[in-house]
Amino acid sequence: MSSAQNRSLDDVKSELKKLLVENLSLEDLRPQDIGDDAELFGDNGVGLDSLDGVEVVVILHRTFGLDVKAMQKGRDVFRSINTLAPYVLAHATK
Amino acid sequence: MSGSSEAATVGIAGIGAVSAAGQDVPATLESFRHGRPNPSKILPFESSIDCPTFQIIADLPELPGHLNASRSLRLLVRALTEALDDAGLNEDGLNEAPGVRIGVCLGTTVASQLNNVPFYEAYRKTGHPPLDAVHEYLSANLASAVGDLLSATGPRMTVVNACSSGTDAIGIAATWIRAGLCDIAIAGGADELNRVAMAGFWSLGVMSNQLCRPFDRDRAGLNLGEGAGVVILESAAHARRRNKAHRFEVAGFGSACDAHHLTAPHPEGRGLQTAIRAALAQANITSDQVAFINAHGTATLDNDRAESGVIHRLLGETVPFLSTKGYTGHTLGAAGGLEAVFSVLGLRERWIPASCGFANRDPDLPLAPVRDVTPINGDYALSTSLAFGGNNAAVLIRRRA
Amino acid sequence: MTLPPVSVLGVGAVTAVGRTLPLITAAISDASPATAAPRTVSDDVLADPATSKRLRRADRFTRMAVIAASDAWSTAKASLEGVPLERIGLIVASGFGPHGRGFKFLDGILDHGDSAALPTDFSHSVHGAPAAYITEILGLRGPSLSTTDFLSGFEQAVLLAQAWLDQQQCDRVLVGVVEELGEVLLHCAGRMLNHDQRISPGEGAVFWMLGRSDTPGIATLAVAPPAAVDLRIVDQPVIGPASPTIDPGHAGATTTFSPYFGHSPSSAAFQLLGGLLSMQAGRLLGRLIGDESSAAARVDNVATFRPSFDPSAATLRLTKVNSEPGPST
Repeated sequence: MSSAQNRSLDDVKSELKKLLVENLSLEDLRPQDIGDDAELFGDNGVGLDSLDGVEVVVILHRTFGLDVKAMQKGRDVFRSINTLAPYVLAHATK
Repeated sequence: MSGSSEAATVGIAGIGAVSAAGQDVPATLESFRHGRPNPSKILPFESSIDCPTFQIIADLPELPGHLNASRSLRLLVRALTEALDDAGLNEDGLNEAPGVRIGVCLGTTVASQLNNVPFYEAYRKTGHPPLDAVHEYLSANLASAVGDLLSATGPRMTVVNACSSGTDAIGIAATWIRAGLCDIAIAGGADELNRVAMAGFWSLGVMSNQLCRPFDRDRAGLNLGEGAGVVILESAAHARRRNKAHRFEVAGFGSACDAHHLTAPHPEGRGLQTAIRAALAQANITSDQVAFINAHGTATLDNDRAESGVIHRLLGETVPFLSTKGYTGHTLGAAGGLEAVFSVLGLRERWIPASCGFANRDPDLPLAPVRDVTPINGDYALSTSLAFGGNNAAVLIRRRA
Repeated sequence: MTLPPVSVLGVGAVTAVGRTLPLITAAISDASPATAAPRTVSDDVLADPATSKRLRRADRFTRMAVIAASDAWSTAKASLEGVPLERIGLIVASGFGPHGRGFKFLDGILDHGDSAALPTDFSHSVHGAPAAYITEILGLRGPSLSTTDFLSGFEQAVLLAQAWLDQQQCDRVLVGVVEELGEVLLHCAGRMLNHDQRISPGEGAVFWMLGRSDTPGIATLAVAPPAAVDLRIVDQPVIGPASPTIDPGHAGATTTFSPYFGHSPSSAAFQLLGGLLSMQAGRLLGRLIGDESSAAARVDNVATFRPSFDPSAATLRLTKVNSEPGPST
């Protein structure tokens, strides 16, 4: 399991995709089906809703040590894997 | 159905309230008069979550014949005792008079769940925990316990509709009175501060780590509170028999769901709209007759946006409205009960308090609540509640001359 | 004052003996199960392709309720044509609620701390979760009510539905119950009941679509004072020589469906289902008690009965459409 010190951006992207699929019961989706630039929320992309959103916040807090309130303020970082991965890489404490 | 026939009239015989705003109705009015909130400095339990709560600091005595009564039940009985006194129904003690049927309809959230953390922790550790917590849970059903205390023989129901439970309970009790299923109904709700509820609302990202700011530009979520609010409903026939005239009535009620999402309200508040319209229709009044609104106003981004939109659309720009959650916190199952009591008070005293926690208008919302103590003219007050899961309830209280 | 009876327009159920009504009827026609094991709903009953995507986050408790409610909706389809969705109400009663998911939320608190428990677990651990799903999936926009009681949740829900319909607050009301068994609950039940082999805890969900009596249905239903009926259904966990039995004045037959469905705070709804299926089959089903030969073959009306309760307490009474009230003999 990679730690804060030695993850690459690609490592983070693939870890995020796995986390989403495993934790949000996205049964018919595999991690590799999630495009880096695909909209995570809303009907036109992966199809996550607001409840998935708050769930993801807690999962990221548990996995990477990210601050919950900070994530709640910066909703834009959750647009896609491409916007989320750099944020995680920059702020991970685990 | 018009409200003019006796069978359709649902009188409010008495009110009682306990919350962080005050241990009874007179103390609550004092807090309201001075615009003074009473948030707690310390949590009543261990939690890593650092957010303001509205705790009640008061002696809550044990109940006769009911050892280890839950805090919610003791809060309820406190408000119930005040309400029965107010209704002049306490002379025979807390027992149903012969020939009179009492119904009990109460909302709650915490009391309905077996969520005792030490019990579960012991279960995980040892596989054989002490069962005290389970026994207490089994005797904690609110309507059941209150019904037993009063030896009541009318219908009983504990409503677990999340944040609209108290208001829904009042609507159901009014339905029972109209149906002739009981002569008197105890209605409202109670809830206590609870570690699990706190963790839950925190996880949903709707809890603020500052004092809540309903309808404010900088609002950032709710604060949890605890309390109990009770209204005693009575049929006109029964009131006549004991020579009482009601100054206040439940004039109308509506309840409708958004059918939208498990945790987010419909952005345009369509369920709330339906509920308010139904309440107005049942009361046979037009929206301009509403003197003020006690809004749900939890201070979450979504609730206040949806709710202010509906108020604006249905009731216009000038109707005075407020959220009292800046004084009480969000008391979950108790909220609807407390806010019905506060609505009666507004009509009775002819003023409503400042909407505590509000400072700056949000340019994205069509309305702003009252900033100061505001005089009230008119005979109808509307209290609204919006619940997680999408149920919406609205009750219209009427003041007779 | 009693409220007018209402029409039963459709029923849906998820039970330990199956989901479809023909399957359940066949099961309750057979000799009762020999085992005293908990009556649990099997997993394949819960795998419902029609709703699986929308139920991706839902647990067994919510799934049972949604499937039973959807089945009731389907069987009542014809009677729902032209009824506006704001005129359809929903009442869901449960004693223990979604405790399984609740304990999972507590796992989160204990393993990761109060500020790192999962919101999806919390939002599904409240009693109102199934109602939120049901209203969303069926598009219901009328009043939606979740209630909790350990003794008479279903009876009170039916009584309220009668009042809503009589006062024209709704034109249809979907009334249901849901209970689940879980590891912690079974552990506590075993100890608190002293491992009494005669009591089988049960789980499942059963939903009834109701309308005013001028809408033709398969039976009429009312919460009513006790009266003579063809088939009395005993609703209590233990039926045996130790428990008070039938009063001699009762001319009809007596049965119970506890061995099939198990017992729970919401048992009455399942007992009534057994009664409805008996009426439709025209036969005495369930585990018959007492002298079976004393009963008439026709089953035109049934009522639930709880010997350990106040004998004058109101019961649930079902009457076949186009039949006389009272016993057939």
